[in-house]
Amino acid sequence: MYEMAYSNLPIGTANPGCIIILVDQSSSMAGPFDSGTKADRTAIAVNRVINELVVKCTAGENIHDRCHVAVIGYGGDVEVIIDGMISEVVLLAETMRIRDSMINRAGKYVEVEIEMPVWLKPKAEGWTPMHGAFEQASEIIQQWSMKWPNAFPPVVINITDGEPNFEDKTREAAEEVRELGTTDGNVLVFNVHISNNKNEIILPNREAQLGSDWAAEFLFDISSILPESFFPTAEVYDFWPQQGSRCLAYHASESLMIRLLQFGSMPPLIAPSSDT
Amino acid sequence: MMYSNIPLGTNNPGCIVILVDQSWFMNEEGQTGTKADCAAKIINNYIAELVLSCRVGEAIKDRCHISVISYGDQLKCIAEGMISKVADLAEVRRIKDFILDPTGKRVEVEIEMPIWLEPQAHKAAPMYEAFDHACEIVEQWISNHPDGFPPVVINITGRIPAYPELTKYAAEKVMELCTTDGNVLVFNVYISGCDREIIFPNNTGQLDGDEASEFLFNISSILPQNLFHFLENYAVFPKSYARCLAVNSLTQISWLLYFRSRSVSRTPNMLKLNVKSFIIHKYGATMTDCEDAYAQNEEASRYAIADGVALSFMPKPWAEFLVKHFCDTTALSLTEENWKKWLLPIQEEWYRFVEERVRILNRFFLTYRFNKAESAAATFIGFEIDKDNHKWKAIIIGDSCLFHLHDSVFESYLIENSTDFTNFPNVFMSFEKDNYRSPRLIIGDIKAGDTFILTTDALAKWILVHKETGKLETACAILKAIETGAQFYEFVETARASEGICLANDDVTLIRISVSL
Repeated sequence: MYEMAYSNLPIGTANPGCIIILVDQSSSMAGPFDSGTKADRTAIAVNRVINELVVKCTAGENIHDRCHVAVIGYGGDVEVIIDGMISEVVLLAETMRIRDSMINRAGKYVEVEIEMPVWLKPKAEGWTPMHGAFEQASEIIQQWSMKWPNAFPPVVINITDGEPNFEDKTREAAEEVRELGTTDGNVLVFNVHISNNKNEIILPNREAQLGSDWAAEFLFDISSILPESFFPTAEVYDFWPQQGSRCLAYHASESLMIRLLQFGSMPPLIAPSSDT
Repeated sequence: MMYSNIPLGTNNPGCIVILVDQSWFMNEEGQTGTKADCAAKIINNYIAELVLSCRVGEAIKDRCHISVISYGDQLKCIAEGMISKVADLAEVRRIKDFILDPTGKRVEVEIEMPIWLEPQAHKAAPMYEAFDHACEIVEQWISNHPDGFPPVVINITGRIPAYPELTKYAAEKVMELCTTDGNVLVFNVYISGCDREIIFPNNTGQLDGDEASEFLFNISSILPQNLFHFLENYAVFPKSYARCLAVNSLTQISWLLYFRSRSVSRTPNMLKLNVKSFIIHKYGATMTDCEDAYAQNEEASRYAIADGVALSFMPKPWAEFLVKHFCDTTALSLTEENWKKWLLPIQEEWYRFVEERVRILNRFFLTYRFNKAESAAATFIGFEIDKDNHKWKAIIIGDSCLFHLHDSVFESYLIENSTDFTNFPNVFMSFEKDNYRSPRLIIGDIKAGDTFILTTDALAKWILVHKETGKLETACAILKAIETGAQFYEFVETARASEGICLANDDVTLIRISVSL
């Protein structure tokens, strides 16, 4: 590991970031979660975070290509849903009218119908080819890091509600992703395990904290160790990592899923001031 | 010329010694309550006003040293120290007071009042002892500030002292002390018990034969001629040889050493301003991406800069409308109180502009934020010079800074340390619903030779870092030497690439105003 790894910030057009979100779309995602199904709520969270990235990459009236964004779904088969620089991703958005609440111009809290950008639609079918998603991520990262060999390393965030069909293959594929990187450090792999279990485990640093849960141990193993350069920002999201904390949220509620997504996709959001 | 080194700032502070009579004579009836009540009220008001005139933003600048000595059953030091320390000694109390409401009716209100001195009246300690003590304080001060404006001793009493000769001797001894700028000034405030107010008499005939005031007349300094103009603001026009004596005048001592906020010299000559303004985008971007803005109106001597917050919604037009409005519109002047009202037409202008742009561009990431009623945000400085009266005023919100260089003093508003810059400065927002931070109003005096620098955060921080590392003069010399846009670009490029103190890669705006006669 490099001494000054994970330090090539701020991210800008000359030094873009790369965020890849892997979404479990297997049949179990049809299960209830918060006010909908796991698939519904995950799609809303992912769309929300991408929209936040778009906002953070907006300068005045235009989009600046401060990051590459990819979303890969896995349910039955593996599907690359979006893959491109943020200005390309923006063009792929469909809009959907949703009910939302907001503070209007006059300062009143109102319920409105508003057009939301949508990239990921909820889906829940088939088995869980998580390994295929990691393999797909590998390809994207290899191409990206050839182009940006010194940039802040890519971040992969995997959202799942359970366990993969092929543990060994998945372990291998995730391992391969974690070995990729740039001169600024290895790829960071985050895992978010969503569940209705209220016993949330956030950024654990010992397997023992997970109890004897096979799936938890598996996700612990394939999660990167959180670099210390993320620690100060972690506090903003109310995370309190320790030495050796893994990039993992287990038994995550909807709000924890969103927070971890925001936190993991944070590098492009840090001081986007140097557009060279 | 004597009495010309008017205390101006922390590098040239003033010294005020207040002596207050607390002998049993003070139990007599004064104008409102006992004489002791009157004395306490005068002093508490006076110190409160001094504190106010030394306040810059949250901070109290040590522009003067204060001692308050009471002489009742013994000499007692009530408060002593630089003004910021004395300010901390106050006990804040809710008291009843009368104010005139907007319709001119007298109404009773409860206000918070800082209290340093309680009204008291005990047995007598001689007045001459108080003067002797003042003498010691003043001597000490003068040895440390030999060239400063002479110390001022204010004595408040309600009687003729028990030992007139000794008192006269002691007071004269104080008056004989001097700095290179003149003799110590002794003011007496006499609370007589009757209603008649007399201020700055120049002969004893004006004193109605009152023995005590005649005595005090003789131990009061002659008011120096070149302090007369201070009094015009209070509609007081002293004659030659007027004595520093006030009888029953509760309010009028407040003009005394109103540090900083009163004009230094009133010359018939209008000041000339030499103004240079520069702006540059961050490295690698273009001017269309530049979210700083500035404007100036030479005729009205108004200048403004604004720094649009990158992540807010459509900040560039907001920053531009703000500066333009400040410089060109005189309908409503911007103050600490009416800023929300002042912003309204600009907010309307921004809204109409953005509505149109969003419609034409038809980009969902703009439409979405527009529909969500997101605000633009910008820091702002509006700066105005009154060339005739030699005053300036500035209204500031956020981390764009105003620097005032005068008499080798460097004053900075509102940020004073380079470590105080954050990613979340206070801002003006383009929707009223998002505005909750008020701007600050700062006023001051201006004279030939002064330089003002208005600049956005990156350069402001660069200047403050130079100051903190003892290189302020270098920084000022560099900035004062820039005359052309090309020189400014060259300076910015060099500073951004500097191995030493590095200028952050951000939009940079600079307005420099040099004052001459």
